Amino acid sequence: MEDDEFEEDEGIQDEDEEIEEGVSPIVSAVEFQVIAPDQIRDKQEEIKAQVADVLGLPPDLCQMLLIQFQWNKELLLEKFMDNPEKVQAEAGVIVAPPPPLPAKFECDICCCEFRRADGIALNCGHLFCRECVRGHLENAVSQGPTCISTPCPHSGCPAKYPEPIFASVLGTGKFLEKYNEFLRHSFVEGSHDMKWCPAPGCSFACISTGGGTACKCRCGHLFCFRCAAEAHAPATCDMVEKWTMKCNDEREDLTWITGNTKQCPKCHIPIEKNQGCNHMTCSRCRHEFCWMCRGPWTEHGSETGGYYKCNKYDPKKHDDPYAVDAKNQLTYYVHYFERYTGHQQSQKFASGQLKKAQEKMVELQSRPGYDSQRAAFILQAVEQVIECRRVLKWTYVFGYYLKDGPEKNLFEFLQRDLERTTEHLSELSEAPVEQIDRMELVNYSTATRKFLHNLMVGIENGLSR
Amino acid sequence: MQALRRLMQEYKELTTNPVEGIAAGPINEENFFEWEAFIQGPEGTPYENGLFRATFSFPRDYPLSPPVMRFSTPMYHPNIYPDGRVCISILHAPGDDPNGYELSSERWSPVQSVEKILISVLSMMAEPNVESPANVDAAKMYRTDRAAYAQHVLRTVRSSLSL
Repeated sequence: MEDDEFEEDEGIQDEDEEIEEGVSPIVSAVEFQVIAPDQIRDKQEEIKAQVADVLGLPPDLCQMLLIQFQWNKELLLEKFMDNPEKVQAEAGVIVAPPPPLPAKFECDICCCEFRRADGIALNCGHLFCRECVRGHLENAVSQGPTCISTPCPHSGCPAKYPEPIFASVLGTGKFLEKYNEFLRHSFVEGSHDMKWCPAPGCSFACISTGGGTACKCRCGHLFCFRCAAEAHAPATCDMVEKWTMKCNDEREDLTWITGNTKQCPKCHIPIEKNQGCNHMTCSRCRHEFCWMCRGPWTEHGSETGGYYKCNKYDPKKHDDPYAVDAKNQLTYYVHYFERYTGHQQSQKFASGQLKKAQEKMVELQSRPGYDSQRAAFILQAVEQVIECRRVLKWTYVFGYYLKDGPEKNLFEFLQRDLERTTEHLSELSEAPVEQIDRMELVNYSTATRKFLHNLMVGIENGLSR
Repeated sequence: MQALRRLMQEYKELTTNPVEGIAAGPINEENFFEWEAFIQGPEGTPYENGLFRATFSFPRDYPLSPPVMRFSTPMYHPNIYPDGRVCISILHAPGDDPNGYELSSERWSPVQSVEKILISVLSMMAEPNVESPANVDAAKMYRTDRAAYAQHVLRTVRSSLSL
């Protein structure tokens, strides 16, 4: 995808390719397969057919057995080999054909007489009229997920209704739809390699094919396959759980105040952050400062050498003449919590920038030399910011639980690198379109991605050089 | 209408082949969805000699869904709520088990009937299920102090006879 006119971009173009293919250091799409509801159905049929093949029973009865075993094929086959009668009885499966049915019968539910052809019986031979069976099944569906193993109405009869009876009796309509949904849910929830995408309203399921945990659904939601929370590398599921509990335990007002407002270091007016960048300008006194450490912004430039160095927790900065252990612990927590919420808010803000980025892309495409592909760098930069903000947020959870030592020093070094470039990329990407320098933004996107990669690989390798 | 036909059938069956110790039928023949029942306390239990009145409210989709049974006579029993509602497995639809102790074979199914409910209530009076009590105090007393429990029940029996 090289462009002769812009040869100087060659190397960067290659990098662009990488983003388009969805390969990033954290999300590897290869390890997950995203499937739509009708594909879930296909998977279900596949397993049913496999079991039917091994047991030599009709697939619909095998489905009843699988439902009983929460779709655990291996366990079902093992137990079936041990004691087929017991497994069948528990699943409500009767393999033997029903006893001869009378030509006429009285339905025990509505007390009316019917011809055999107007009745429905499972292999247990208990005949009920079609209308009553329909009522019984509709009633079961409205009771909830247990409808997938609805028993024959006859008192104490173990036989259960298989899917084809639901399909033929309920016809088309919301009851059958609901039944199928419950069936799909039982399948996905029972399969240990499958999870629903936890995003609200998303109906896709994801299948794990490798050992990864960060799963990207087709709807765009990125979640942890193990704990279903937002993807949280480098923090582990345990850390996230502990952290979430800790955050809930802390007083809510403290949480809100430290998370949402800070006083301007000069005029002390409370300031609520409403943008992604850490470069704050007080709307009252025009003082410029860093949101993270509240130091003057002038100290954060490259010329002073100490720029963006605000990810490091410095106990001296928070010194207190009456310092006690508990107080230190709280300050330690607040340090990490503030940065965690800082990145969280910036992540939210950057997500809100996606739409603006698309508008900027459209604007850019009206200029000569820009097609949709060449204008895509704006969107890619914002996506990169979102990803980095998300990871940075979780690095503060990881850092909170990381003990002091050379590992932590290296970690904070890598974190600082990423934070610095992310901050810069964030500021660049928020600029109006006429101020955007394509080269600069593309280069910073590449650099940021590299630092992100370094951080993740560094942590993966145990933070030892 | 399925429910009405079924209720009339059950009423007919209960009057032609009555079961000892129970009687039931519509309170008012204009409305077949509200019944009353009279239950004789089973012999050999603290409820002996008592005569208890209960009402049944049938849903429009009866017998697909179970009726609600409520004693109007004050009752002291581990499986009867203080407001008279009866908590017994046969009155619960499968999959709807508030206390989590019941097997689905004992649950409501469209082939159950008023008669079967009343027979279950009779055996419940003789043998309370203290595993899933609706009246925790009664269950505790039944388990720890049977004599005091019987005494308590006797009081309700007397009041049922307006003594």
